[in-house]
Amino acid sequence: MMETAIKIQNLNKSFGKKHIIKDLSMELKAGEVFGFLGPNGAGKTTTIKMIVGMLHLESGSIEVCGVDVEKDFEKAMANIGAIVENPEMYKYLTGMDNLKQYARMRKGVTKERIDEVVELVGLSNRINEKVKKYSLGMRQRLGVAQAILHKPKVLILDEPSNGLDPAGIKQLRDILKNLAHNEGVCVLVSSHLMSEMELMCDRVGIIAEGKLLDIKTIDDMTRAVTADVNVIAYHVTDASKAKEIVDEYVAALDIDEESKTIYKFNVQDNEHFDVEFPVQIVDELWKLNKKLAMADVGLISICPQENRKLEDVFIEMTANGGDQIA
Amino acid sequence: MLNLIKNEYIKLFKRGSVIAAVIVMFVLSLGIMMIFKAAEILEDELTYMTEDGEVIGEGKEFYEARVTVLKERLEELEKDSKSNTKDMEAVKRSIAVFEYLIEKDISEEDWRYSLVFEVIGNKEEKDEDISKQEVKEFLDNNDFEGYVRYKAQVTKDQEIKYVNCDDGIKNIYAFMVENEIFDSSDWRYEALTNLEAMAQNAASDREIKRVMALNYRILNNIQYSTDDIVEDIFEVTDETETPFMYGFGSSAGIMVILCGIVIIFAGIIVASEHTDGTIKFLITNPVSRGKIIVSKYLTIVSLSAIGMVTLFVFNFIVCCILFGTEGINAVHLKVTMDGITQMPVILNILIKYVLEMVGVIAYGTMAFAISSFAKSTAVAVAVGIMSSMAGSMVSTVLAQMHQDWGRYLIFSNTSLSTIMENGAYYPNQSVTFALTTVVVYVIIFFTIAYDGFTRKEI
Ligand SMILES: Nc1ncnc2c1ncn2[C@@H]1O[C@H](COP(=O)(O)OP(=O)(O)OP(=O)(O)O)[C@@H](O)[C@H]1O
Ligand SMILES: [Mg+2]
Repeated sequence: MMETAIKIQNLNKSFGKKHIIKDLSMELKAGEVFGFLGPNGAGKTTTIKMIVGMLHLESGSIEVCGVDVEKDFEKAMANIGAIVENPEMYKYLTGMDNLKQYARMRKGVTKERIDEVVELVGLSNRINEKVKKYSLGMRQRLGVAQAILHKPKVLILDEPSNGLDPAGIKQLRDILKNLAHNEGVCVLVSSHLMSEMELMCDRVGIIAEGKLLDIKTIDDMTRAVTADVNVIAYHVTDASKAKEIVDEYVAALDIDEESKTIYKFNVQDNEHFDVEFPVQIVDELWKLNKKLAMADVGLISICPQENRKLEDVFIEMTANGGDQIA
Repeated sequence: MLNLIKNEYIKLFKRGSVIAAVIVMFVLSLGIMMIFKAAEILEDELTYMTEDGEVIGEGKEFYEARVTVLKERLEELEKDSKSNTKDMEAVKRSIAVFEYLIEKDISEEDWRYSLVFEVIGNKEEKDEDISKQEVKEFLDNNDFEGYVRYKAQVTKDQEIKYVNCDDGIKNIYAFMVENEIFDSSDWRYEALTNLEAMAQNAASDREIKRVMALNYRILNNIQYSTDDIVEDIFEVTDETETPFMYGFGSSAGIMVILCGIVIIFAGIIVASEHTDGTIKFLITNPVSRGKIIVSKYLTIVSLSAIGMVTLFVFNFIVCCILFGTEGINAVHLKVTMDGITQMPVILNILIKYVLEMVGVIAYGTMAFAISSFAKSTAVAVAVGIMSSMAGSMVSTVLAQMHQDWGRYLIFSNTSLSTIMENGAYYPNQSVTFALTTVVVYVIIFFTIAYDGFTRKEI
């Protein structure tokens, strides 16, 4: 097990009377990409702001590489690189001048290191232009360059893919994975895009309304999603006749009652329907199909659906009963 | 810390608006000096006019015009049987004076000018102690040395005409002989005659001090100086200045432009980080907020100092070019009843600049405090500039209404160089008092800015 890079304990924060972060605790390890996942207004940015010292802690504690951020801010920050919300740089300076500003505030950043980082984020050709001429994606890249300039042990990125093109997102993903897996950096990435998390994170922490709901590895999550349900889409000549046969077939199966509750038959029209099966029976589906064919239901096509998306799980988990921001 | 300050300098001076403000400062400064110069030229061009307001130029032209007018007058008198001979004599003598001036080509600045009136224009044969005959000879020969020696001879027993030397009181002509002042263009000649007149009439402390100052300058051969005649309540400046001294001395007032610039800088330096959103990146660095705000403040203070030195040098060069360098070595005298202290006038002007800079820093700190609260850069700058302008008005009004507590306002204490010279808003407002008040305010303002910045949630 790698050592702990960020340790958050019983964190609380209110704005006025509004209790935003509620007793949040989590531990992030060196060498992992940790996804911080939650709907709008969940408190991701607020938590990150407390880690980097923009907001004061109301109660609880945050340690970065063993250093309490409130007690020894400078020492803690020496280990952190961060982008919080939008990458707002000095617009009237060139990209290079911006990086030099940060280089002067941190220890051990050489000219070579700056060039190396610029190369890494793919800004070599535009680095001597004023930032006001940059596109959002270019500024985001500059923000990343700024964050990794001093080789921090902890990298915190608040919605980093915001504004990046697909190639940029992939590039960023590769950079982050490489930093975490090869150089032992702890990367904390916040997002509300589950699909994005799926591709780059090792673990995700799900937060909604200021409470940490769950921390899972991506593998666990995918397994959880794919484990118990399979969806098959049917195109047949007579959907209502098919329903009778399928109902009968499932009822007669020799499986536990709980699994049977998973079964759902969704009719779309009289030729199309899909069925959610308990996973145990998928291997024996040919038996059902044979029954259907024998009952003269014409099987035009049978097609396994994609697994239920992680996205749906995420929405389910964090749903607050409506479509309004909490 | 140095790196942080360097960062702040880069951030400020890579801004177009900041560069523009600095350029405006120099252009305005140059413009003001040009206005001084223009005023000086206009003053030089004062012309001579007849009674009818006709411009007739100066020197010989003027004398000739006088002769013509006087001759007409004489003719009228001769025609009129009632006129007495005494009047006609007087007019004739006047004509003789001007004809002599024309003949010898004597300008108004010439040492002989007033003597001609005395010797030729005066009726009485025996005036005081000089023999007209002998003096006329010195006049005819333009023999200044001879005249001085002659005067020294005939007036040696008279006490009232004195110079107070280290070794006792001396007759001014004896002094001239002793110090070999035999060139009529020596500034001390005229100064000695002035001293003579002033010493006779000096009654008040202030007049005595002015005599002391002049006496001191003659003894030490200090032609140009700015003299502070120190009174109990405030100080009065008597000046014998060259255009250079006048121009450069007044240029300290241009520091008010620097004040505006520094307020703009102070307004930008904190507020813009918030309005641009760059504050987030600024504070997510291994540098405490305290260090950041202190380095920003040091940037403002050092800029005030650099601005002051730059303006001082810039105005010095401009003044040298516009007004020439005459008076560059002049001294400044501070005259009290106890004695006189002197320093180079350039140093005195530098002190004025430094005192003005203290005011600039005071307003800069105020704008800095405003900046750390303001939601926008424009508001920070506008509030800073407006309060600095309205402030002096408030102080003036309060002082006029005899509200004594007004002396504790920062605005009553920022014009340190004016307070030093003479005019504080309130009586007994000493430089020390003003300086202390300003320092207290600066500390308060800075504490507000520091506290606001380090505690702010972003
Ligand atoms: N300065 C503030 N004053 C008052 N309320 C605030 C402040 N900042 C954030 N909040 C509130 O805190 C809650 C959490 O906000 P936060 O920015 O942390 O959400 P988030 O998870 O980052 O959302 P998003 O995905 O939209 O970025 C929101 O309800 C927001 O309104
Ligand atoms: Mg956010």
